[in-house]
Amino acid sequence: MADLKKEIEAIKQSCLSELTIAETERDIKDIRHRYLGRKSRLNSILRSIKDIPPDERPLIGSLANKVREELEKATSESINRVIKSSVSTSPDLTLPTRPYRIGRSHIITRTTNELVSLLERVGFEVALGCEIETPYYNFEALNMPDDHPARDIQDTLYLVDGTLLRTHTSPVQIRYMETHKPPIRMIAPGRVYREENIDASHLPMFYQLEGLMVDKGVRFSDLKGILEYVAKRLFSKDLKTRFRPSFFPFTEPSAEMDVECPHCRGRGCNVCGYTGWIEILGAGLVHPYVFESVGYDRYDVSGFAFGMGIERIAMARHKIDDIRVFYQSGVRFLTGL
Amino acid sequence: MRIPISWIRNFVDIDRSPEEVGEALTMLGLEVEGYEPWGDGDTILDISITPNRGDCLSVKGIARELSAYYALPLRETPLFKGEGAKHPPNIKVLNTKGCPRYIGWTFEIDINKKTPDIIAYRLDACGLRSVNIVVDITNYVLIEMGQPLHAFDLDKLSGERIIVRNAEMGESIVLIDGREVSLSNEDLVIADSEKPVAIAGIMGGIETEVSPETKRVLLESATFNYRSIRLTSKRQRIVSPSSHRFERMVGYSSPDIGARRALKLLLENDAIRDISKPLDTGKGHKKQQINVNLSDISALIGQEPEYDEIFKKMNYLGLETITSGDNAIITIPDYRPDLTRKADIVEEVVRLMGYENIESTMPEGPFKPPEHEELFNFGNRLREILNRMGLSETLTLSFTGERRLTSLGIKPSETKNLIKVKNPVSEDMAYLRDSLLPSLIEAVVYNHRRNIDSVSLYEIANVYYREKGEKIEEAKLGIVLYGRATPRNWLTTDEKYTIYHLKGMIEVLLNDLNISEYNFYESSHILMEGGSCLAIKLNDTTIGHIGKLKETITNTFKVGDAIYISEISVQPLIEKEKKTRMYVPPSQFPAVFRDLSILARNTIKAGDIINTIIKASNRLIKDITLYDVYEGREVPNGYRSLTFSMVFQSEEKTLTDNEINEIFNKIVRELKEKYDITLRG
Repeated sequence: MADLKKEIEAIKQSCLSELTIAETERDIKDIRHRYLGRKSRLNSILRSIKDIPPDERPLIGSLANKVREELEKATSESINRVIKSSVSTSPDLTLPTRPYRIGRSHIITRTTNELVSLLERVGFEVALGCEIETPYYNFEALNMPDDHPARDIQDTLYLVDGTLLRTHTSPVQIRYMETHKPPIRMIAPGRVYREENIDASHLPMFYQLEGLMVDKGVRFSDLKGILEYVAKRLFSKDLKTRFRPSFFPFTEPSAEMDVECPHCRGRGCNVCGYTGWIEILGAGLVHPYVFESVGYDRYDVSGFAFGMGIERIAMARHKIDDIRVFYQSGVRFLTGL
Repeated sequence: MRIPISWIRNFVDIDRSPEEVGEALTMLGLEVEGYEPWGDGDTILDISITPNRGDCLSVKGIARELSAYYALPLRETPLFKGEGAKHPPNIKVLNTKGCPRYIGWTFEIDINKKTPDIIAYRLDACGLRSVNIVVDITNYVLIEMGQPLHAFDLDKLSGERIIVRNAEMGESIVLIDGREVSLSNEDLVIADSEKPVAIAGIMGGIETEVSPETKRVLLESATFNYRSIRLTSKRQRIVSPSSHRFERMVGYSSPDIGARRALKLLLENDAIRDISKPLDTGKGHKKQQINVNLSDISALIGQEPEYDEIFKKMNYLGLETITSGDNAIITIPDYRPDLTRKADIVEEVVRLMGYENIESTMPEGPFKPPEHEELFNFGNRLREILNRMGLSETLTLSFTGERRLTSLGIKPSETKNLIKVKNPVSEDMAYLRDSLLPSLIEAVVYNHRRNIDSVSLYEIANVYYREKGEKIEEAKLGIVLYGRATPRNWLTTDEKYTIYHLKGMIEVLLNDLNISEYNFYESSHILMEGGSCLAIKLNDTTIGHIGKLKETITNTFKVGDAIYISEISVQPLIEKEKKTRMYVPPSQFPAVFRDLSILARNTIKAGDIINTIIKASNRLIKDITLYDVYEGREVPNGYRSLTFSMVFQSEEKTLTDNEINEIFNKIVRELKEKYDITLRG
């Protein structure tokens, strides 16, 4: 029986040495067929195990099985080896890649931050104010008495105690001036509220960014300069901007600023309502009444203020045609912009 | 306001295209929002008029602006000069503050005279249908001259008289549109000797309106106090073309011009005869004058305008100018009540220069380095950390409502700290929200319905509530996790979000802010499943909660997977944040790795075991990772196996095998004593 044991060892050595020099998958499969196949010597030993004397049966049986396992493993390892070394079977690099989930700030936040970073470079600092306001800060101090038709433009959401949700970020101007002395360069981003039913272009809540500069000798031309700088950086340096008269009770002269539509370059398209222009902000020199409200000497200082709707700017830049998408929490919108 | 350009050309000879005229108006502050081709080569301009420019709510006002812009003369409007022979109507103004000027004329009318085509055409262009010649001509003059007129059927005026007075309590009127309105004593009315026949400046009554049977007319042309009109218009919820103009102030001289224009047109069409003398209650008007210093104006604009040219244009607008040296006196016509002070003249100067002709400058003078309000900076700091963990920011509306809260098992009536909106846009937005969580839960539902299998969002925003009578706005951070923890792909596993993901994110957040004094305690929360809710404490103050949304709520929304939520106050984080992290040099001595596998009753908290291990290691443990938790067939019922890998390292020396064994044995001993654990494999 020692012979049979030796023979099994010999089969193993011979098979292993053939495997080490095999170069192709076909060679290895052939080796496996010869050493481990149905007609192989090892297989016939295993099949005739019952012919072996009972006292030696376990020893031979376990040895033969062990060798068979070793050789099975060795052949499959060899196959892996030749597959790896062969060019024709390199990995499929067109398989879809591992997806990564990247978190993003909301487009309103990113637009606001862009505006803040443009304006902080020219000295404007952020103040936040509060969203629940009194009629005094929201209207009266800003030259909008109760009987002024301008109040109709801003339908107000009131709270039951007579306070209100600010209809614009302009009350921050008043609060800031009450607690700071000129020179002032301030910006106030934040939520504002209107009594508006929800549709594709209206929401009862949206974001504004207010700006205020007060100093000795602030000029209308400075207002224009600052706003052109912001608009051109925000959109594109080669887009035209347009400054035209408008009306706000708390500025005089008042202005609105348009940017040439970035999508049609002024030719007219559905983004700009076929006007070629996109209105991005309202502005003006601070009305003397406002200075009187906060106790500034209107003969000593002058200033300008501006306010813009963040959604409007984001909509114009990103071709968003429905304001509702900003606040629906749709994951595709939040992560896709 | 819609005006056909042909009508404007009646007043001023402009040979420009409608688009050029529109552009000019826009640059004058009268924004043209649309052009509509009309009739035979005509174009309707859709002009948006700002509330300060009541004078431009008329063809003549618009034409006046263009005459200044193009330096072209404004054509005279033909008016009826003189007066009739009949005695003037009986008119009395009891409230002269509410009605500074009332002019009445009477005449006999041939009501069946056809309205001339040109008038019908223009009214049609402006969106008004032709009714009869009197109504058509009053409407025409309203649009042309900006003067609201009203024609009464004189035979229906009781006592043939007009009294302008405040309504008496209990009085009411049926208006020409059929609405019955009860009046208050703050409403100014036009009355005959018995009852109100019109709400002054807003709308006439049906009883005295001109009808096909009308023979004699009393024509009213008046001015009313803008404040009184506005308050009545708001109170009664009636807005008419008349009230719209009176609210924006109609000038003193306008009623006379308006009435005479209407009479002229009626006479031209041979529709009236037997005109009376007018009854005019006006007491005269002194034109306002504004003194300005030209150097001051130039300084405010930032450049020196060509004042001669500007003044010439001002004259086209009807402003009279007298200059002496560096000063000027500007006399304001009564149709420009928006011009009251120097700043208004500055705007007029810039407007006439053209805003586009102002050379831009950057502000002069130094400025101090800007210092943003801390909450603004901190919000961005939070976003940066949260974004890095793959969370995206959402923003949702600041409101909540009864139905929305009830669906989450919250009764608004029991949360009496909610702040109510007096005039909400809808019932679902009737309150200011006192938590960000409902909106975040709704975000999961919204996305689930759109087949999104994973939601990981946060919001940083204020919540609002009442505390001791004060209304509080407090910044909060809310987080929601739902569904797959990794995007679905052949390489990723089917890992779903768990409470451990959320707690881990909070730990990363706090660690990144260098806040170390935090702890988690089992707690409860109105929205969170009992036993799956933790309070986050800084020192001893609860700053927020983490937990699993109650399954009963998750089930009602039918979203399948569990929803994990957290809400944290931002202010305590700002106070405890440490901006600067200190460098810790790495140990010079080798680290030793050991595994520990134990069997413990499954009621024993892993956190307690880890704390015991750390304490027992005499500060030599540098890292401990629980990398396997097993409960099942291989371990006895009621037990679980926990396998840790630990890293030991000293700052002072190389740890010997003996020392490590000693620590290891101490750890095992203490775990056995405290928790009756057994060692495995």
